[in-house]
Amino acid sequence: MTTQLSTPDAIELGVAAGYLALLDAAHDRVVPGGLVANPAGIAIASARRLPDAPPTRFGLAVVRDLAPAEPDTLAAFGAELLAAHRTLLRDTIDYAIARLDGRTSAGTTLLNRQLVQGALAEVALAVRDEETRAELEGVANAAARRYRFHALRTANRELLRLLGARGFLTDSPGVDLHLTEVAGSVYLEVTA
Amino acid sequence: MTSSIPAGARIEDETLRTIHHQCRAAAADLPEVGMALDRDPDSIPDFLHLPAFRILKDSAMPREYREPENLLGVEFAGTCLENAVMLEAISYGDPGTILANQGPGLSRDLVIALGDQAQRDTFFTALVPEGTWSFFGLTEPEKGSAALELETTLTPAGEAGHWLLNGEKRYVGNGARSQIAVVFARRAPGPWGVEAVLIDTDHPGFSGELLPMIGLRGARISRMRFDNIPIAPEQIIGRHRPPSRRGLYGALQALFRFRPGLGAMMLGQAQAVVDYVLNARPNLTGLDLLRLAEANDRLAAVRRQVHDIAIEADNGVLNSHRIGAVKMRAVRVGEQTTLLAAELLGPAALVEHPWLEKAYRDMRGFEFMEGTTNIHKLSVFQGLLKGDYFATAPSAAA
Repeated sequence: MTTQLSTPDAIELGVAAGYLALLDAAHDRVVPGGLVANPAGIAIASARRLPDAPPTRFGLAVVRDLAPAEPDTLAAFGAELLAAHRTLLRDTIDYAIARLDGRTSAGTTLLNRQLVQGALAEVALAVRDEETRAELEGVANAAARRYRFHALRTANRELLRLLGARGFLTDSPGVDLHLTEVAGSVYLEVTA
Repeated sequence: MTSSIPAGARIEDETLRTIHHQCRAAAADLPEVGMALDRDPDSIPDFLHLPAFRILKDSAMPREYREPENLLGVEFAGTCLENAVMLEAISYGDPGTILANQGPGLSRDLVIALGDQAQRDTFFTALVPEGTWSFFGLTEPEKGSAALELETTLTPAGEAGHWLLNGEKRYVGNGARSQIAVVFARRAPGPWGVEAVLIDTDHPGFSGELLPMIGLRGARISRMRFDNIPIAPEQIIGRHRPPSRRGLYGALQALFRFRPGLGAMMLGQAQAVVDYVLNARPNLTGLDLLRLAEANDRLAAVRRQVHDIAIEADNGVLNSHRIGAVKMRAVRVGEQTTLLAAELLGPAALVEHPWLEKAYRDMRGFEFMEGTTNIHKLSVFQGLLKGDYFATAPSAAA
């Protein structure tokens, strides 16, 4: 019997450059060279950007006890996070289409299944709704951003169901989608 | 230490009450163990002495291979309902520790039901020493657990009745660390051409590799390869039975009997999440409190369904549509509960509450175990067509 073992370090640090790069870029666009902290003074960014902070899972670093961002800054950063989330969902829709087109069962691809097609369409509709809301710049308070995050989180889960076990591997889009939910928890799960 | 009987449960006799209370008490160690396994899945040997791991293993072993002192005074009869009650109570501590544990696992029912005495002896004797694991090798790359489409093969090895096992399995719990396993492979076309074979992983043709998972990391979900592993006639499980009563039939029987327990595991974790929120936010009021109470009600409803299908299975009724439906609903209510907790605990809950963050990740892993939601939805539809989904006629009551 030969067994190849993973190490905790490989799991901690080896993945998820995609969303973390978007997160770091969002900080830079809103506070060039700095960090945006949530109302409790917590900020998250990539471990590369915060080399002195203890890394948590998937290359994410957390810092605490910062000065909370001003409401306008937090609003701008929230909009950036929602945009990054939409970008990631569109990429993951493409990934899911390619993957489901490559898997066959009972003589046809999974992509040919009506249930799968409907689920993918549902995700696309949610992303498009959210893109339109961003474009219209309607209600722009924290509660609205929170509900918009929840809608995208629902789309995450729909896509992950389609990816099955593949979406639970650390080299899959499942990690980036998880990180969107962690970032949403920090910055968008705020009502005032 | 006792804990109240969860809402919706059909825990109506003294044995079940004892199982619930003893396992809840044993589960008190497990949140910390679960966090340790999440950091390092290979640390599991450090915890196998704990009561939860011992009762899980020994309750799954047939009487002749058990160490009764590990059973915490419970006389297990081996029913599906007992299993569901035990797994929910242990999962209140951490469901991932169940998947990490040593012992017969999912192969248990198949070996007991279909194996001959020599096969039962081989399988269960190998698992008596501490630190021995088994795996149930069904799922394959790109095919999931579509048992009819298996591509792992058994080809004739020359001598009559001898075979060579070749192929690959993926997404199998404990695959890379098991000493003994049940592997499903195709001997001939058609549903009755699938055999279940008992293998010793010490053979050089076996290799296993861990898959890096987002959650449930203690389960050490793995990919395994089989390269020309010789299979003797006595390794074909149930070889004394007709092909229609072994192989694929055995796989389905094992899966159907296991699913109520899998649903129960998600309920245990979700109940712990609800209670965690109540402890962390004792002053919840208004709509927030209502949302948590409503989640609790949904958990109770799914618990009732889990216990009902477990009782059906114990009475010899294995309705695949209802069984799959309950697993699917447990996944959904479990996921919704963790999402709700992340909302109710407020900003940064997923970085300020590491236990919740782990439960949040782990819960997602149950979606692809034992059939995805979409697979079970299709099965419910088939049950509707056959008039076989609803257990009883519609009630006239409003």
